Amino acid sequence: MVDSLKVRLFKEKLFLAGIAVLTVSTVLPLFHIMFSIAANGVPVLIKGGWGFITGTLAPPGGGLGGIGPAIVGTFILTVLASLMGLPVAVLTGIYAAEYPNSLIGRATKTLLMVMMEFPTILVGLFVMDIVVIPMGSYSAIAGALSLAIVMMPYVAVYTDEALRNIPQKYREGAFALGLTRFKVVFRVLIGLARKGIMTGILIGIAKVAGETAPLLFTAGGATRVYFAGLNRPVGAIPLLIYQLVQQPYTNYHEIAWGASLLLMLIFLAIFLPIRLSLKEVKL
Amino acid sequence: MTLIEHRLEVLKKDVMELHNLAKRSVEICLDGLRCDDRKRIEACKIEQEADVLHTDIDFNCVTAIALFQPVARDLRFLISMMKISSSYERITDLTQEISMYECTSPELIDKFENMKQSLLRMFEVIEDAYEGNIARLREKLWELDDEVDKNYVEIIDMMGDKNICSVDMVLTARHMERIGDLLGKVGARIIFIEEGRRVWIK
Amino acid sequence: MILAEKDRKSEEDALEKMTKMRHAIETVDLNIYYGDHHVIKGVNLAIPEKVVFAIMGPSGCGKSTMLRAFNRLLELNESTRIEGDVRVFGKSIFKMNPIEVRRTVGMVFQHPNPFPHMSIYDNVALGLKLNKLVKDRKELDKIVEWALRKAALWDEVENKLHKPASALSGGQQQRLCIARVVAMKPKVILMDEPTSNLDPISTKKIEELIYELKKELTVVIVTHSPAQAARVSDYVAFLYLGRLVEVGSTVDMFENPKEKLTEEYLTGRMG
Repeated sequence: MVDSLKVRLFKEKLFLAGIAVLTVSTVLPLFHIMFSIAANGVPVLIKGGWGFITGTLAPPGGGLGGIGPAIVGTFILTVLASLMGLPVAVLTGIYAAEYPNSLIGRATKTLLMVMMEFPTILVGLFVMDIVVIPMGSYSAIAGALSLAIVMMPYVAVYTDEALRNIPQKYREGAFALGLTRFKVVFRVLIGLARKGIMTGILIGIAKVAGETAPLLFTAGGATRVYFAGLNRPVGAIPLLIYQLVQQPYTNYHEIAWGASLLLMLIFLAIFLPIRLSLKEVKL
Repeated sequence: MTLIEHRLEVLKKDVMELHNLAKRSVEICLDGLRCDDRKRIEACKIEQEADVLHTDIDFNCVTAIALFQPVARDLRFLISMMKISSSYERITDLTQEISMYECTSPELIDKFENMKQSLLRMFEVIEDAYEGNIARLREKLWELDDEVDKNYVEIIDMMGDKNICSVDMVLTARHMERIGDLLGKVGARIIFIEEGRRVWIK
Repeated sequence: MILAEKDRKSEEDALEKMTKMRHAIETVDLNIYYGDHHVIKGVNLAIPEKVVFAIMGPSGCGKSTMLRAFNRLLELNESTRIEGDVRVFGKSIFKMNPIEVRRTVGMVFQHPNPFPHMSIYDNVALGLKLNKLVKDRKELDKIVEWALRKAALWDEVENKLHKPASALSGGQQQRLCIARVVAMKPKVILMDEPTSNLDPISTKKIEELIYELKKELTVVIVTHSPAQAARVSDYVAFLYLGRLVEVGSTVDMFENPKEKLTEEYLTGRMG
């Protein structure tokens, strides 16, 4: 039956080749994007020099200027969003892990999963409705709030998983020392889970640093003013890219490429170390 | 059957063999007194076999303890078998010596025969006990040993009255009394195996 | 004269002594359920103080479960139900705050569980610091050293108290756990198969340690090895399928057990 063996081997090789092609074609777009951004953005950065990072936006049609306000804006929004969202998210994650069988615990887990996939533009609309409209203007607060809402489920779920993964023996050991539940969770278990929780936080930050939709109707965008106050509009790199691409001026398109490169670099700078240093990343 | 059960079975068979050797030696020792040379040779052979068998049993008990770290009945069994086999080996030593002596007085021989009968009955009681029948073991052995001792005392008195001062005879009487004691000890060990109690028989 | 009289009397003496001694832990008709599964069935146990009390039996017969009832750790599992009473030095643990119970009755587990992200020093000091039992740093240092000495670990770690606990070997980690418990100065230490996962030398060190500990407190050790129970304990209880089959002094139990079931278990004829 040598022939049938040859046929089977050939079929197997064909199958493997097919899978390889499909895998490459799945990953190809990522490399294409990264390559395009690099190819188009690097010249811009070289042309703009340090000024590109520190300066304000040039007038239409004339030169590059800089995207300083957007960079600072991204930073401010991320920090504010973290301040607003992280404590609540971590506590939510702790609650879900410690009381998994309670009604609230189970509901929380499900709702968090839903929130993770929720259309972020709707988050933006919600915040617009409750903050922007009453306040009368776009603001950093509004932008940060919507980013916080996007960030929270990731941090909460990672925290929950991290706590659940602590081997039961440590939990028992801590209780056996006569510690109250509060102390067991906050002084012992959190310490044990800190790596997982940090991962969740960094992933949350990496995600919202690159989010655009939540900011569309909340942050407003700023191109020439660095920081006008929490209740005033603020810029952000993704938002800037969105705004610039829609303009007809070629120099704005160039600036958009430069901004894209910067955004990609920031994202990789946060995300790659996480991925490389950890053995498993869930979700 | 577990590993240790198997070993214990083999050990018990060996001890029964030694028991039978000791019994046979008691049966024939008086014939040696009567100068039956064939029986004397047999008694010597029995004594040698008993030595070897006792050493084997001792070795097997110690290794079983070392290898299995037994407790409870198993431990009591092994320790007791070591001591029991030692008693049997001692008995064959004594009977061999008896068979080498000479006795010309028919009265004394009769008395010795009485003692021998009591001793043989003790052997039977012990065989029963090995089967598991230890009810009144202590009482029966005590009674029989009393008989042996009674005869012993009578013999010594008789020799004193008739002024017979024969070393061989005194030693024979002494040895047979000793055999009675040794068999009593064997019975006590069997009670220890079965019930975990330490008793004296006399 | 029957020597047996003396034997029997010494056995009775031991049991009488056991009942007359002050009891560190007593269970009164203890029944434990895991959901519908009846795990511990009507156990009445009286554990004297300042002895080593072993609880032995085949795996899965509820020994660890019962142990966890003694320090109310069982309650952490919501599907368990306890009926009957457990008393520590006469007081029912169910009338006490669970925190207080666990400070009086400490526990060492089968898998050594020192907190790996904390230093050796911090592990030992944890209970004391977080329960606010000691405020002064100097006093804390003294207690940590004392506890580590009691656990026969001081000599091996005195120069690296601030290294993480995960740097220790299995046997050392288990001794660290013992130090951690001892530092709280409990009156009873429960040990759930403490040497099952250790090599023979570590096992021996810990068994010797237990012998020293019993001078000051009561040790209740669950073990699936009768040989260990024999080496280490003064009194032993045999638990089979959730029932207390026999209890008595170790010497008596191992030389001449009263129950046939105990005999079968000890001589390996069971199962």
